[in-house]
Amino acid sequence: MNIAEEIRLLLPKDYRYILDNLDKRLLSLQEIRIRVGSPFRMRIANVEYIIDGHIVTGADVEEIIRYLCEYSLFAYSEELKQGFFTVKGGHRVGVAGVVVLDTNQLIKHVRDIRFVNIRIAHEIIGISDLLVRKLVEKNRLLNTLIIAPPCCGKTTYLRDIIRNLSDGFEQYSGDNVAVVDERCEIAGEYMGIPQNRIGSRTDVISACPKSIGIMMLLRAMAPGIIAVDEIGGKEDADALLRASYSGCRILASAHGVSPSETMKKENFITLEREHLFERYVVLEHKEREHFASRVYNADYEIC
Amino acid sequence: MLKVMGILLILVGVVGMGACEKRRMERQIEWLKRLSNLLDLLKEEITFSNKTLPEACYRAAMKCPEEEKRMLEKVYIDCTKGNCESFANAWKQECEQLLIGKALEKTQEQEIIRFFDDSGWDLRVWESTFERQCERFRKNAEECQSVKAQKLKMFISLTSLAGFAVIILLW
Repeated sequence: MNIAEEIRLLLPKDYRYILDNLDKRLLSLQEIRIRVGSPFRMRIANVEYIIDGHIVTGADVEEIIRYLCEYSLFAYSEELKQGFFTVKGGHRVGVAGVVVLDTNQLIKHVRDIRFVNIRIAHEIIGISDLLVRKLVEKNRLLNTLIIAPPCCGKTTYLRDIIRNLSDGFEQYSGDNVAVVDERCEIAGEYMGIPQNRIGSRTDVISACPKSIGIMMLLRAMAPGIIAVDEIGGKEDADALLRASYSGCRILASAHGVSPSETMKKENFITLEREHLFERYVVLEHKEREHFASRVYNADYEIC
Repeated sequence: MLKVMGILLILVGVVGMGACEKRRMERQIEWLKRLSNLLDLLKEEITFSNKTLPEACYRAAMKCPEEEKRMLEKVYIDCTKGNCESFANAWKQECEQLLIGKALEKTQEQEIIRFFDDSGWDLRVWESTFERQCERFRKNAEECQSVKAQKLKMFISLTSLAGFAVIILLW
């Protein structure tokens, strides 16, 4: 199933023709925004397109939710509580509505969903082929942190680096990579099967908090490399440190604009003190959908 | 001779009608049990394996007799191909086909056809809904069984009485 078909099946029947008319531009489709009472909007190559004549109704959004939940709200209650779904193909769908809290002030349910954001996952095989060579030394991965603001390709790079490290290349024979895919974006797991190419020596634990997943993988899968996306909390940092003490190599990503600024964050202080990361990859938008990457060493110098 | 033949014809006719009714009731009981089992299988998939409704249909189909299997597979295909707006529609359409000529009462047919009309997000509510419906079908089947036994007794006595009455009248 290609991207067009995966996304088509999520949209209300009356809207599906819009994707049919996109042709090659579909490859650059980044997101679709659906808001009740507003027109249908798409972002293609960083340009917003408004589809005239289509004011989204509550029934449209309900239809989308039915497709998203595969007609089974009860099976997706956890996703609803978190406010996002990962669908076939690894695409991510965020939803917003009225939150219902229980007596302990925990989210019980989200009702009257009226806002939907579909972010299209773009797997770019080979995007990290040159970059990954700077991240290995003597057939071992240097602990690496990928840093970028949102929508700059962190997950796309991380996924492709994982694939390269798992399958190996000239300077690197490949290793067992264990991935904690908390938001099911890296492997794009659907019904337990990764939808994206993540390498032949890769094990994935999905929909599990990073700190718990890292410890589970350490105990269960004896990984050579542990990869996680978007670390942020102190518990994530602590779990990564523990994994590195066990001899695992670390590959992670985090929000930020530069290594020095990112490592100053309160939760990363221990990582900085222990000099966990030996390489930093900083990504930024170059023009339209193209990304530029720079690699820094542990002293934040470009290498 | 004609009298004997007339008596025999009446008796055979009455016995035939009785046998037909018996078969209809047996069929009804059988289908109530089969539908109860079908809901049980779906409940297991949904509650224990946390599957979605189309997936539950797909997996339950592997454990079902041929007719239910075909129906469940069609529902699964309808849903995964994005051909239907709701699971309830797909279920209704295929279920109506399945129940043609299955000797169920109208209310029983409607109960299973409209079972998925109200879909909720709470798994516990679903579980109890499934259990309630299964229980109802099982009770219906038990009631049918006892009615069948009563009817059979009544039918045998009535047939015997009718037979004697006919013999006396025609002799």
